Amino acid sequence: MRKAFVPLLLITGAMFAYAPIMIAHADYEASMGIVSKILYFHAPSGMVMLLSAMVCGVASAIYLWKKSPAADRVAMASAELTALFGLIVIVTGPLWAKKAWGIWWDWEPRLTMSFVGWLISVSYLFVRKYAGPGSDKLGAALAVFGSVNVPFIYVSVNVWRTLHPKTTVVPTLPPGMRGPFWYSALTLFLFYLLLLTARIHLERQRATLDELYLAEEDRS
Amino acid sequence: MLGILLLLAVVELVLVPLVTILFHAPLLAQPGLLAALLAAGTVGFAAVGALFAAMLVRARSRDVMLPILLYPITIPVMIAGVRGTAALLQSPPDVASVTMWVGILGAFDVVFVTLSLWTFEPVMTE
Repeated sequence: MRKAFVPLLLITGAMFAYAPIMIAHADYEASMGIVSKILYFHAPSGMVMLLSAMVCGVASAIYLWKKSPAADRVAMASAELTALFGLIVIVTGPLWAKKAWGIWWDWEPRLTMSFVGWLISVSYLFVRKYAGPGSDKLGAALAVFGSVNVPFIYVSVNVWRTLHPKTTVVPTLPPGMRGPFWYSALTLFLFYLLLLTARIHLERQRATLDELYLAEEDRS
Repeated sequence: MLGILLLLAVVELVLVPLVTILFHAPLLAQPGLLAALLAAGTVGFAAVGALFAAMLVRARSRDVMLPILLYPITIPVMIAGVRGTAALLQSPPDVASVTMWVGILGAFDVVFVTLSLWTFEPVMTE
């Protein structure tokens, strides 16, 4: 992963630089106007958030049963990114909702579940920071429970009649919007990979540093 | 977990008749469905509650941590229970949606109890 970092950085940077042009040239949606451009940010961030929560849950489960410190680092990095992308989703969501539905927020299943998912990732970070010894296992169990939430968030729009558009909206986008949409999704996914790699690397360096300190203390 | 279940069941036994009397609520029109809602909700809540309470015994600042952890995890159970009871309280009771919420609660129970049993051992052993 570490060797792939620089090429990944270059590709993601180039894709990010081109994204505004792509989005500006996408089909103009008359009823929503300029606000519809949030689509290229909101939905892909949501996808990445769900993916990241899944990664965090799976890595935590591996850590719980296999006790591998590498899995713990992946879980930690992924939880932070879930919180980050979740924040993007619940900030861009209301901006769009105000125009589309006339309200900022509604306690309907999709929104509530996403909010709860984001809350779980934030409480994971709280636990890791403040719960002291044993917090790694506590957090891992929490992340496993949190990842159960993900399928429910995904299907919630299809099961209940909600304000939020269904998941079937994405394949039926008009061709002029479909290209930019998947382009944005890919860009944000690469961005996620980039941040994940960097964060895992940081966590690994930190573990090495701790070991060095311990070795030094043993010697003196 | 059995202790929590018992405690919650006793509290429910007292509270349900009290609510029915004090608010003139038609809670007992469908006793079977109400019992199903209460039982499913209690099991889900107790399973997660017992696991997290046991895990937090050794953690630092556990009195702050428990609500932070328990609240987001049990929200689906609470929502399902509240919405199910609300549907039950309509006149006439909306049996179709009560059954749906009982089903959702049951699904959450299966997932929560399974996960609690799975994670309990690796979490509690050093």
